[in-house]
Amino acid sequence: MVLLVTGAAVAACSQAAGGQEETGSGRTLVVLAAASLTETFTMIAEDFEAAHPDVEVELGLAGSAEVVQQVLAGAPADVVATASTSTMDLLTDAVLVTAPRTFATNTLEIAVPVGDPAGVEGLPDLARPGVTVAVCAPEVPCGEATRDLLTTAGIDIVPVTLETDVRAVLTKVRLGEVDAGLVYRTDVRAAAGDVTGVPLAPVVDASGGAGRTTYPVAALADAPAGDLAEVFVEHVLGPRGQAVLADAGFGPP
Amino acid sequence: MTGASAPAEARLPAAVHGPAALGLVFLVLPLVALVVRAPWGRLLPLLASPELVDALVLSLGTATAATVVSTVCGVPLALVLARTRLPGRGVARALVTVPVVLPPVVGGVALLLALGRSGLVGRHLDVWFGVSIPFTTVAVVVAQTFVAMPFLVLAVDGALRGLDGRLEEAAATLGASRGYTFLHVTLPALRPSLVAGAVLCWARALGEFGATITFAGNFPGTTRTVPLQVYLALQRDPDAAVALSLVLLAVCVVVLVLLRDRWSKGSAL
Amino acid sequence: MTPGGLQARVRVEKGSFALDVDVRADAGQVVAVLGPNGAGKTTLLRAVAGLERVGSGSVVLGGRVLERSGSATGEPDVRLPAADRRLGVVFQDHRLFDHLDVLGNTAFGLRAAGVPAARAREDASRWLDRLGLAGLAARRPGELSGGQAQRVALARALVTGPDALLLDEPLAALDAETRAHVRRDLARHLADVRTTALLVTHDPLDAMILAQHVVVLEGGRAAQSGTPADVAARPASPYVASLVGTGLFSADHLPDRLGEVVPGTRTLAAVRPSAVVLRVTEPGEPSTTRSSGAGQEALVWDGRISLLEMHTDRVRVLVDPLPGATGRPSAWVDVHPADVASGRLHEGTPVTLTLPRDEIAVYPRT
Repeated sequence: MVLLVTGAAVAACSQAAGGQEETGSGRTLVVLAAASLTETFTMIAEDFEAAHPDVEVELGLAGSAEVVQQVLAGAPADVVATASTSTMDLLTDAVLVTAPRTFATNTLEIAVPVGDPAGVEGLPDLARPGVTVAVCAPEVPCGEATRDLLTTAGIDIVPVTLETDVRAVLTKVRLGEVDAGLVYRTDVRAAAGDVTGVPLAPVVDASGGAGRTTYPVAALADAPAGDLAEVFVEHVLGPRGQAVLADAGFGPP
Repeated sequence: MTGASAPAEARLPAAVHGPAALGLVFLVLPLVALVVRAPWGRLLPLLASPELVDALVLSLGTATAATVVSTVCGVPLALVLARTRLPGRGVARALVTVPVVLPPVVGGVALLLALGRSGLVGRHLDVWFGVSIPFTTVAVVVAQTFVAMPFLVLAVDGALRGLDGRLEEAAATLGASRGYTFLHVTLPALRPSLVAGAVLCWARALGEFGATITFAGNFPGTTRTVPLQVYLALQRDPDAAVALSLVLLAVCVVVLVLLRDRWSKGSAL
Repeated sequence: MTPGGLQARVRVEKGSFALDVDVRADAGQVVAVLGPNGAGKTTLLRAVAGLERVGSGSVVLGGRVLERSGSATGEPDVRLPAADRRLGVVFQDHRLFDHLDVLGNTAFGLRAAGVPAARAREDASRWLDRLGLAGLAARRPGELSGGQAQRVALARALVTGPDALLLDEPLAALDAETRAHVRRDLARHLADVRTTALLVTHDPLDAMILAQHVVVLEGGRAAQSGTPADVAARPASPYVASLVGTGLFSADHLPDRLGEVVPGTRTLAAVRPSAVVLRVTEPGEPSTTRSSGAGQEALVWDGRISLLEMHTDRVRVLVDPLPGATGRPSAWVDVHPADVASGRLHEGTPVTLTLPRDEIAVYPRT
C-alpha cells in the first residue's frame, strides 16, 4: 500500500507541474496530504473546485513523513496537511511554512475483525497472551500516538508487527490476520463492515489526551499558486471543510 | 571456444560504446550519490545500534534461506518447464514470470490471502496444525522466495533450453543412467547459469521490501529486515537511512565479489 | 573386444519423410551408410542407438534384441534405453563434456558403470595412450582442436568396450587436411579394435577407406549396397554414380558392341572420368565419330565442353556430344587445372574424346 500511495503522489506531482504550464487562464492548486486524509480531502477538494470553477486541485496523498520529505526535496506544492505536529515541525524549522494551523483531531480506537474472534473489549485485552495485535511503528505519527497512549495507560503489549502506516494496520485487521489493531477512529469508520471499532475509555495525560493526534495544515511560503493556497486553508477550517471532517469521524481542532 | 571472445570484441560496432557508458553511469550514479552523501562523521554511532545488527543478521539469514528454498524447488521446476512436453508448459512459464512483474506489495497481499491466518490454505494450517505463518521469520522467507525464485527459474530454464539435451544423449550412449547423467552432466553444464540465477535470487531476496512488510509485518528481530529498517529510518532520520543503505550495499558488493572469485574460475560465468 | 553382428531393419516416419532401410554389419565389419544430407542416415543411426523412436522394425546386436516393434510373428515389443544398448557413439559435434578434462571425459562411461575412480582413470589413460592422446589427458575440451576432440570422443566411446560402434559423420566438422589425418587414424583404430561399426557419412572417400561394405541411402531407401569397389565401379543409378564420382550412361544405344551384354537387355556403362582422354579439336579438323584405330581399341568422338567443376587437385569437365556424334554419351572427364588456367579449356571449347574400351564397365541395369 505504502509504495502504491507514494507512486500515486509522485505521479500527481508531475501532472500538477505539467498542468500549471498548460492551463493558462485556469489555475492549479497542489495539495499534499497525509494518507489518513484520503477520503476527506478528496471531498474537500471537490467542494473547493465547485466554489472556485477556474481552479483545479491536484491531490497528492502519502504518509505524513513522505509528504514532508517531498516538500523538503522541492516538490512544487501549495498546501501541506499532515497527521502530526512533529512532522509539520520539520517544515516550520526549514522555514518552508509559517504558523501551521490545527484543523482536526483524531483519536485512537481498537479495530477488531468482524466477529471479534479474540473477544477484545478494551486496552487491557491487548496485553493478554495469545491475542495478536498490530500497531504502527513509533517512527510514524500513528505509532507515536500509540506509544503515548500505552505508556500513559500503563499497558505493556507485545505486538506481532509494527506497521509503517495506519492503513497497513487496518489491512491486517480487515484480512483477519491479527485479533486487533490500534488505528484512528476515522479508519474504523471508513472500513465499517469489515472491522468493528472498540472505543477506548478516555485516558487523560498532562497534555490533555493521550491517543489523540492533531492535524496541522499550512500554505507553503512560496506557494506557486500564491494567495489561493491561503484560501484553501481557510476552506478546510471553514464550515464546509469542518463538516466533511466531522462526518468522517474527526474531532474538532 | 575460449579463444572466440577476443575477435568478438573487435567486431563490436563503435556506436555501442556511447549508450553502454550512459547505461553504466545511470546505474552507478545513484550508488555514488549514496556514498557521497553518507553522514560519514556520524556513521559509527549510527551503525552501532543493536537493532541494525539484528536486522542485518535477519536479512542475511532469510535471503540465504530463500535462495536455498528457491534452488531446491526452482531447479526441478526449470527442468520440468524446459525438458518435458507436459501440456500447459507455456502457461506455466508465463505464470512463473508473474511475481517478477507483480508489484511486491500486491504479492504480499496475495500471500496473505493464500497463507494468512484466514487465507485459502493458511486457514487449514491454523486449524489442523496450529501453525500461523504471517508475522514470523518463516513469513519473511516465504515472501522473499515468492519474489526471488522466478529469477532463478528463468535463468536455469534459459540455460537448459540452450543445452537442448545433446550432452545428455552422449552420456546415455556411454551407459549413464538418468540420475547419473543429471548429477554429472546436466548440473555441471548448468553451473554457471545456476550460480548466476542463485546470486540474482539472493540479491533480490536481500532487497525485498513490499511483500515482506505486507505479509510478514515488521517487528525487530523477527521480521524487520534491513530494507524495512531503512524505510523506518527514512521517516525520522534520512541520514540514518543512508547509513543503513550503505551497509546493505557493502554487504552485497562483498558477497558478490567473493562469489565471483569462488565460482567463476574455469566456468563461463 | 567380442564383436557381434548387427542387424537393423528400421522404419521411421517423420512428416512427409519416411526412412525404410535394412542394414547388416557382420561381426567385426565396418559398414558405411553413404548418402546426401536429408537421406535419413543420421535418423537411422539414432534409431539404432536408441535416441530416436522407431516406427517399426528391429535392431539385433550379437543376438541381443535392442529394439523390436510391429513384429510380424507377434513377438512382444522391445525397446532398450540407449544407456543399456552397449553401443559406442561418436557424434559429428564430438559432444565432449566441457566441465571434465580429457581423462575425465574418457573415464566417464566407466564411472557411470560404477567402476572405482582409480581404476577408471587407469583404463582411460591406457586408451588415451593407445590412441596417441596421452599428452592431452589434462586438457579441457575447449583447449582441443577439432581433430583432437574427435579422437578423444572416439577414445571415450571405446573405453567401455561397446559391442558395436556407431559413427555419425565423425569427420564432417573437420577441415580438409585434419580430416585426412583423422580418417587415417580412424581406419587404423577400427582395424585394430576389430569392432562391428556403422559409419554414417556423406563423403564417399570415408566409405571407401573405412568400410568393407557400403549402403547408399537415397530418399530414405537403400539405393545400392555392396563392397566399396563394387559400388564405385558399377553404380546402379545416376545418383550413385554422381555420389561416387563415376560417369554413367546407358549403353543400350551405343552402335558399337561393348562387352558381353545379351542383346535386348538394358545395360549401363560406367567410366572413371580419369580414364577418358581429352584433346582440343584443331580448327578445320574433320569430325571424328568413329571407333579409332584398326583394332578398334577405343571409342573416339567429338564434343563441346558444357561445364567445368573445380576440385582440389583436378578439374572435372562435362563434355556433351556434338549433334553429329550419334549415340555418343555426355561424359565427365578429369583434366589438369593447368590446362584450364592456360585458357585452352573453357565452356564451349570443341574437344575430341578418346575412351579405351577396357576402361568401360558394362553391366545389366538392375
